[in-house]
Amino acid sequence: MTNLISNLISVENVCKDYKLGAVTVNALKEINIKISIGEFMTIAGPSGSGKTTLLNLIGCVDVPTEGELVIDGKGISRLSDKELTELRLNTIGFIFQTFNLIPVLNVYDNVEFPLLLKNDLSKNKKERKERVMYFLDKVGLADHLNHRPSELSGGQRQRVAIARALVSKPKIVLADEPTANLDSETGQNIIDLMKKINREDHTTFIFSTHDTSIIKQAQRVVVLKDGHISSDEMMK
Amino acid sequence: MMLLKIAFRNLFSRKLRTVIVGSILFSASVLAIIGGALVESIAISMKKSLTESLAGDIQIYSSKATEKFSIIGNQEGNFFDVKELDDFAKIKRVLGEKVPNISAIIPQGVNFAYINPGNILDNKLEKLRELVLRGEKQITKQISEQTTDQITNHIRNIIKDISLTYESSFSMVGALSEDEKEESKRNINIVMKDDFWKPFNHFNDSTNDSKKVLDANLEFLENKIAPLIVDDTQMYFYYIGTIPHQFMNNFPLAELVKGDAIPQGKRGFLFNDYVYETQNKHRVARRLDEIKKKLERDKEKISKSKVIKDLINANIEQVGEIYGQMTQTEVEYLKMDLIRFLSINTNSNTNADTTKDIKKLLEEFFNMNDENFFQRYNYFYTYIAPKIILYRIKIGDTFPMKAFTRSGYSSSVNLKVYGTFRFKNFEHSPIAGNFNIMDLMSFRDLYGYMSSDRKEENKKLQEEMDKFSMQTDGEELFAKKGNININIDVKKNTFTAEVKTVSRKKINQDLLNQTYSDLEMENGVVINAAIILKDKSKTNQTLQEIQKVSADEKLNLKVVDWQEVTGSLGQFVTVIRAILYGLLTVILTIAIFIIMNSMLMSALERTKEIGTMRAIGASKKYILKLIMLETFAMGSIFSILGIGVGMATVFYFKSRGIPAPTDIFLFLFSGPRLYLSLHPIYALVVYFVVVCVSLLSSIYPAHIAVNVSPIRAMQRD
Repeated sequence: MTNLISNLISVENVCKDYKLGAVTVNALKEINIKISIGEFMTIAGPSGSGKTTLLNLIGCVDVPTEGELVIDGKGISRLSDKELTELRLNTIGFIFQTFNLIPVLNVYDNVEFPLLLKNDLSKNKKERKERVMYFLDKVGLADHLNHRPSELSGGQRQRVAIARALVSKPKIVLADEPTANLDSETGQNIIDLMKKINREDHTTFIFSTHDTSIIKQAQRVVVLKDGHISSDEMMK
Repeated sequence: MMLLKIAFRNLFSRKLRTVIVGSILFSASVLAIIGGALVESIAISMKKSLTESLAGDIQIYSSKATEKFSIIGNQEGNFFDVKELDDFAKIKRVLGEKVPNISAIIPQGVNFAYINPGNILDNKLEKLRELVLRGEKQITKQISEQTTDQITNHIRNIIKDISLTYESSFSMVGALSEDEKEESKRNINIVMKDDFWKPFNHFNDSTNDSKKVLDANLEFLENKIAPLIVDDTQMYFYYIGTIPHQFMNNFPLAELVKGDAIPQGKRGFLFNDYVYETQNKHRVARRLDEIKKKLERDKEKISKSKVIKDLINANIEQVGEIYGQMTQTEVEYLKMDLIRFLSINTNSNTNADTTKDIKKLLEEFFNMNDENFFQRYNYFYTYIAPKIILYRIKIGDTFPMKAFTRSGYSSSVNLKVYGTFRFKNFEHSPIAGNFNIMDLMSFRDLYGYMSSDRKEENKKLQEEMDKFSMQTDGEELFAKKGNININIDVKKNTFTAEVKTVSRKKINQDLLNQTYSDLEMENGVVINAAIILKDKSKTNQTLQEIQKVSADEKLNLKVVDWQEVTGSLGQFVTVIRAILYGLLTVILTIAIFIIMNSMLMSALERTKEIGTMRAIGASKKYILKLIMLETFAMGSIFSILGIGVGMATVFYFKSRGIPAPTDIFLFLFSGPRLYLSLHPIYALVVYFVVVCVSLLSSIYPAHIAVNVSPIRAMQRD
């Protein structure tokens, strides 16, 4: 499994420190992980163990204090803000615990949003429409196009967020506690949807959670404790 | 498109903020448009008022001037030491040849005059003196005696009135000293005696004796009694010395109202109609005119206006100035008529009370109210006005005009009043209404520069004076034989003055009949000149051309535009423009802070949303565009709305006009209404400024938003 080509993400000796006033918090200490294409992986661990920090680094919204992350062949410490933005746009999709839809846009527009940021698609309305409809259909919201986020249930919102994360066909989808704000049945539906997409499109899913019933459904479970990886297991 | 959609929807979703910021931008735009239209329209009107009435487009005066020249004088009403243009004809010729854009050069000079046409007693005494002179010329005894008696009686009535009222009148305007009181009392006692009047009954005995006594008595009345009437007979006004027909033809706003224009080449005077109808008019009549204007134009009510009531009370107090000007017969006739008029037109509690005297009747008549004002106004002008001195100086009169020369001496010329003129549209404005027109020849005389014919006149006068002074000894002795003891000094002065008047009158008559060509008028000193241009849009360019010609040809001219010579008036527009722009600056500065604050709030509220956008791939540039577009949209919408409302208002008043609230505004508005207009470019400028201000004020909030970290998307609060 250590095929270099299949290494989509490589986290090498990464440390992340935060300054909280005069105190420096070592959120991550010497982390090393390699993640391959098509994995369905969860990062588990108690609150404050560094799950979100690790996801932030993998998602290129934050940079490590030490060490290097290589995402899709690019070492991110050498990238400018502009290049990081490009990388996020083209390679990574995000699903947030709080859904983070743009409140003033309807379902269709929210999903279309990332496509408009892409140079190649911003002028191709037809292609965009096909893509948006394809993914909205996939998440089962094709008949809610004109609804505003405030008019949707939590589960529906998260599905819109998933459609938005997938619409630009990223290699990696990061989900930070995607089910934490949902009831367990809805949460399970979301996980089922993610699994289905993982299976069909070979999209790599990395999500954090502390819900044990969800942890069980992952192929690979990385457990963080106090900024260290305490275990890294492949499930079957 | 998406950006625009987000921007608009954000505006819409934050209604309160949008409304607050929007209303500021909206008000600023409305104010800028309406205020701008007001200021620019006033600027255009005032430019018209000033350039087309007096100033012309460009003014020239001597480069030796030590003070800045202003055609309307400074605040104290003084004029400036600006020296003179010595050879105006040359200046006119050279400039006319070398500067093609000049349409006309009109010589001018403004000076301040005071004249005292005399009070009613002066007036009657003058008539009496005329009759006395005619008596010498053997006009039939009967006619002259009849009229003389009438006038003498009238004068004695006036004196009776003076004896009763002079002490209280003087206490109002400034008390007499004890000595003066004593003297006045003594003097009145002298003229109240029948003895004093005996010579008037026998004046055409034609003996030298009686003639001298008569003269002495007349002088006594003129010098000692007439001044006891407290009246406002002194008149002060500005006049412009110019070539009248050139002035009237080249200033489009100047138009003749009454009488005739000063004939080309003649000496003469044109009253400004405003001066003629106010200062020069009987003050009771003038007050009635003013009340009428207030009732008709301003829709006021006598019962509600303190100002009008005060005017009415002043008229009641001064009824003496009505009947005092009438002969005994006229008074009797008016009395009868008034009794009839008042008993018909009042609710009959006054039963035709024939015992009432004229004073009481007139007091009752002038106690007007809203119901009877117009009826009585008409009665006044139909029955009373023809019998009184309605105008102190009438059109057609020749009167002595006095002014101070530059050297400080008083000088005088006789001038014939040909008519009145006004400046069209703002004839009621006190500012424009103050200038009267005089021919340039008389102006030069009054100004202190002697033309050759005037020098000739002075020489003749001097000769006659010399001749006369040789006789004075004899005259003095003779006067002592008179039956009334008159101070010899008074008499001596009087005789000198008398001779002076007679000879001056004769010589002046010659001057008044003389005709001068334009060139003769131009040939000599003027103070300044108004230049009227063919193409007014090239004022600055032509101004420079004139300066160049002046330098090349050594004309020694100071060349300035109309705005510079109209002093505070010319700067008025600059001032109100500064106020408007100041106000707008304040509003927009406040707007900047409010917009900045509210955009900052909205950026901070939205950090999660912005962070999310950044996380899912939006660049910093995109966020910047988003914020800027939002303020741009807001600025655009509200400034366009404001401009729309402003333009609609301007358009509404474009044809309708804004009525001038007071007489001062007539001048600013160049007429009774201000017709607003606005150059469309101005609307664009307003739009541009408002949008720029909103963009400017969102720079800092945008900076904050752009630097929101994508990590914010992951945070759970």
